[in-house]
Amino acid sequence: MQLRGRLLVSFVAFALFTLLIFGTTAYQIAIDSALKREADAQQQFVTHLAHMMAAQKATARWRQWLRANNLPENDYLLLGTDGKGGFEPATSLSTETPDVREKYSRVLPLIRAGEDSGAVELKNGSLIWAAARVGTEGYYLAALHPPPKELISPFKTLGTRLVAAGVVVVWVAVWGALIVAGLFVKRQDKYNADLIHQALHDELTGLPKRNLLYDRLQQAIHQAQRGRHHAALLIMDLDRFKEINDTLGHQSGDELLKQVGSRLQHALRKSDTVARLGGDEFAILVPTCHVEQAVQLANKVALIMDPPYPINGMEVSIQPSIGIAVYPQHGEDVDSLMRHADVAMYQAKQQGGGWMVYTTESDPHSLQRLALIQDLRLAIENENLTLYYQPELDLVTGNVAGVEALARWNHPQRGLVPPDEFIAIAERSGQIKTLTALVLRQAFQQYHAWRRLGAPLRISVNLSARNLHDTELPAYIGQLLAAWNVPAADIRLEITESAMLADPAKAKRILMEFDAMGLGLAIDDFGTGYSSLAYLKQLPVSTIKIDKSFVMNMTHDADDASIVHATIDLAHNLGLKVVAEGVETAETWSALKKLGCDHLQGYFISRPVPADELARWLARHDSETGAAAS
Amino acid sequence: MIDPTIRKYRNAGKLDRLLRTIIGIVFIYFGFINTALIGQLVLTVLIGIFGIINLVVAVTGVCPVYAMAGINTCGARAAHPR
Repeated sequence: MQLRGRLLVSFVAFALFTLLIFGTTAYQIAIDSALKREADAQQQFVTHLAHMMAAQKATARWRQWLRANNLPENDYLLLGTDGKGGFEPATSLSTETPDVREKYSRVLPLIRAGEDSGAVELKNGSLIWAAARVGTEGYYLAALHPPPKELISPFKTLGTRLVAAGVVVVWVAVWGALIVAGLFVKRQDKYNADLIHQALHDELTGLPKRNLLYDRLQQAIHQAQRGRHHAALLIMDLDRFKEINDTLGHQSGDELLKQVGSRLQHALRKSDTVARLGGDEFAILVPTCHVEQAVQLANKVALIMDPPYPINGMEVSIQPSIGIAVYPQHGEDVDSLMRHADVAMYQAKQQGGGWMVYTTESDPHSLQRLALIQDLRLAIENENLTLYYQPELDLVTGNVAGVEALARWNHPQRGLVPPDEFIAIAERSGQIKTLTALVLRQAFQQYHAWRRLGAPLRISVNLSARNLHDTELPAYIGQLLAAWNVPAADIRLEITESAMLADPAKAKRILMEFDAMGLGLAIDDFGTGYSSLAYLKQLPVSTIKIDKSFVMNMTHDADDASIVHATIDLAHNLGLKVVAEGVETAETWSALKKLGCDHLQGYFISRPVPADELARWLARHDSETGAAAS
Repeated sequence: MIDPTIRKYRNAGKLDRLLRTIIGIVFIYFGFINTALIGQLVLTVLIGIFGIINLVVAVTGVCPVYAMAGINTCGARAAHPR
């Protein structure tokens, strides 16, 4: 471990450095105190000698006196007064040996400075010196001796203690380094673990993210393979979550997701994985689970999701759509299981919530579907789609106000394909642009044909949400208008409310463009998309079409009736025309008439019919209204 | 010999424990028996304590400092008794 090694080296180095400083200091203190003791002892001895010398008046012949007392004369110096209050050697230095001269030159300044003992460094080593006054004659006797041996190497006493202290200090330093390294590594590990957790878990709900789910799914597949058992993957989507987000705000949406996440987590076992795939999509992985158990689980999930969620003091209800794919029958790898669970989830959503187990028939990517995509491509290329027309009546005059063009696909083998189905296929397979272009072309052709017969009708064409992203569409419609010489006001484009809400800014931009061209604009399926009137006011639409779900029931459902009523009033206040769709009975007709609705459309008037049949219907209608008028 | 619950905490290997036994005995000798050699109360007591700690670690095979630093000198075989 690099960190531990470095810490060990630095801690031990620091310990040794400290030890070195304290060791040398201790050594110095020991020497200094020993020297002081030695110098003091010497001072006493020299004082004693000086007294003797003074008593025997031996200063004049001090060297002989020293010799007589068996004292080595070279170890002593005698100093006399210089008459100015200082001292000078009591002997002529020129006759002395260099050794003695050096001693004089070193000790003299110390005595002049008033010191009486200490240590001096000479060429041949250090000496301890001490001086004492000799009687009253102003002489000074100084003695110089080498220090005792134990003073030169004090390690004998100091050494073991220093070693013992060194061992203790280094030992503690090693402990310190190891503990600090341990704490540091632990912190680093925790930090790394946090980072990994962040990378693998969703910030909002704390649930595993897609990447972790993939990993666990892979493991579950391996285990299921080895153990020959099943593993289930459930993908769940919250129906109309986007609307909650749009109406209550993103914070409420986030809060809802959090609550959904925690409900899921509490309802499932620890061994199951609940993941958030992003947006309002969740996934549940059950490593050991067959289809029946998965269905039971889906029911359980739907049940626990059912109670309303308290959000900002409101009770919000939400319904999940759950798609189930089980290993191995619905896919043997992560990708196909994920895709198939997704397909099943969309299927469940189309059915209006609940759960759905994956089946090949419902898969848009199954062979059947792929064939259908190919067939649709051919049908668009060969213009094998036909337009049906449904008339729209003016309630006041009783005249036909226009027709809505509706594409119909008569598949050579499968017969009539429901429009919802092939439009969804076109949207998913990227063919919506060519499909819309074809419908527009055919509508213009039809307009031209009717004009030649004398009575052109205003034609409404439906646009898909995807068309709103097509920046070339306005130019294309402009070309058609010019080529067929059709007044723009006779073409109306219908856009569903939900398509507009998918990207309001973009929708507004393209609608402005259409409006500038003079095209009529209508909001289709109004009432299903929760759009606000404030938003509607900003759009250049001239007409709103009330969704048939409200109109069909208005005669026996008071709520629907009041919705229709309110919508008509509000639309009129905003200066918009109102078309009621789905008029199926005479009562509805008269109820709408009472409410002041402008136009009607529905089976009661006519179902969508081919152009030639429409011509017959028009003839009949004209004669009826003519008869009524006369 | 030793309480088996201690076994899972064991982090000092054979050589480690042998060295610690020697060091422990030497330190206890200097810390409590031949105290005159060091001749300084605080140091002798500290050395003695170190000796005891080492001997305890040698006997139990569990070193708290190792545990904190995440060190294990048991070697691969001893670390995974299975």
